[in-house]
Amino acid sequence: MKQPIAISDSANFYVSAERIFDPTLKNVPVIVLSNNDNCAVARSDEAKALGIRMGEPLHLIRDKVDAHGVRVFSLNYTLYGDISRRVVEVYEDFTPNVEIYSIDECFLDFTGFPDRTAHARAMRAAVLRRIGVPVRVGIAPTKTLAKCANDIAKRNPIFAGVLDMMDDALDDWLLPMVPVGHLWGVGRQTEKKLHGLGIRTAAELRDMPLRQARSLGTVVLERTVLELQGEPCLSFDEVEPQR
Amino acid sequence: MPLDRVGQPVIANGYSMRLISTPVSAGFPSPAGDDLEDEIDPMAWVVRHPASTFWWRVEGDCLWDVGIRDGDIIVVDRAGKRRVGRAVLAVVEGAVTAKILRKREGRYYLAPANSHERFPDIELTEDSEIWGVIAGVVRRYDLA
Repeated sequence: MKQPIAISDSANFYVSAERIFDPTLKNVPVIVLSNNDNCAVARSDEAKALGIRMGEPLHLIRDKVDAHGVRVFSLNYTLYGDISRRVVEVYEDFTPNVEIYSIDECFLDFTGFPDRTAHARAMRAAVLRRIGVPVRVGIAPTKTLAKCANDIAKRNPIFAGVLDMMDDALDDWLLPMVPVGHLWGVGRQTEKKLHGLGIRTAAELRDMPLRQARSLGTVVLERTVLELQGEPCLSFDEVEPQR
Repeated sequence: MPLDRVGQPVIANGYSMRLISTPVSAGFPSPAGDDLEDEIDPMAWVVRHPASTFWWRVEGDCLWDVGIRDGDIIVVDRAGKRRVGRAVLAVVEGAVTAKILRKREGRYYLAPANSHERFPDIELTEDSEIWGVIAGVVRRYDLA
């Protein structure tokens, strides 16, 4: 019995958090800079469209910032922590089991919901209304596939922010379109090695022999292959309620 | 009526106070109110949904008639139901404003509540947004 795991994350979380309280930031390019070296660590979609890259230092993008009126913020962890906590509270209304993965990503147990897509849409709408942060949800039988579904939902507006990949047929349709470099746990070096073998998509990685995966990229890559095949290797952390 | 967000998230310390059973009339408190009964947490009294509640500081007196004044801190719940007649926080042309939600002839308006000063009604359009519903107000008076 496959257990549906959802991962929900926020679009450009730091920017989304700033936008909650300042409506003039809507639809304009916004970036958030790191504290000591002034590098862009969060970019709104509009800023990404201007070609501002992740980690780019302010002095290299000065011209763009001035020419397009990019709104620039400094990191405000107190704010992000507060918003993050609120978002988790809303998730908790939609599932009994939330595993916090990062400040803007949570794995959610979606076992038992007959219409997972509708449930995820309702959750998404609730987070947007009650807090004001847009989130995307990917659902699949393993964490790696859920991250993958989330990534597809993020890049393709037709999914309206929610993609349920519990059906194997969807894997066959979608995984050939996902570059291996986008996968969770596949870094630059591994990507290069895989490209050397002619493995360029998630589908091709899924069909790679396990022993070959292990010798190429250690047990981590082997686990990724298994997870892509729908076999959970990274368990859902069932956190005991604190007493 | 411009508003400022209250800087950092307000932390409720679960401050509870003993509640005197007799309501305080606007005169002398009743001596019978000696028997203390319930406890009340003032923060929990106004904050119904902690996740969706945010704090803003009011500038201006356009909601004077409903008891919201310049300098007050208002509690705004984004999960509150947007009902006609309620005080709401709205975004109009990129500015945040506190007003009463009204409906006339099938159209929605943001209306002031101040019989002493005139403020114009603002019609709600696609570009405006009800940010949240005002759930409470906190005020303090000068002691000096």
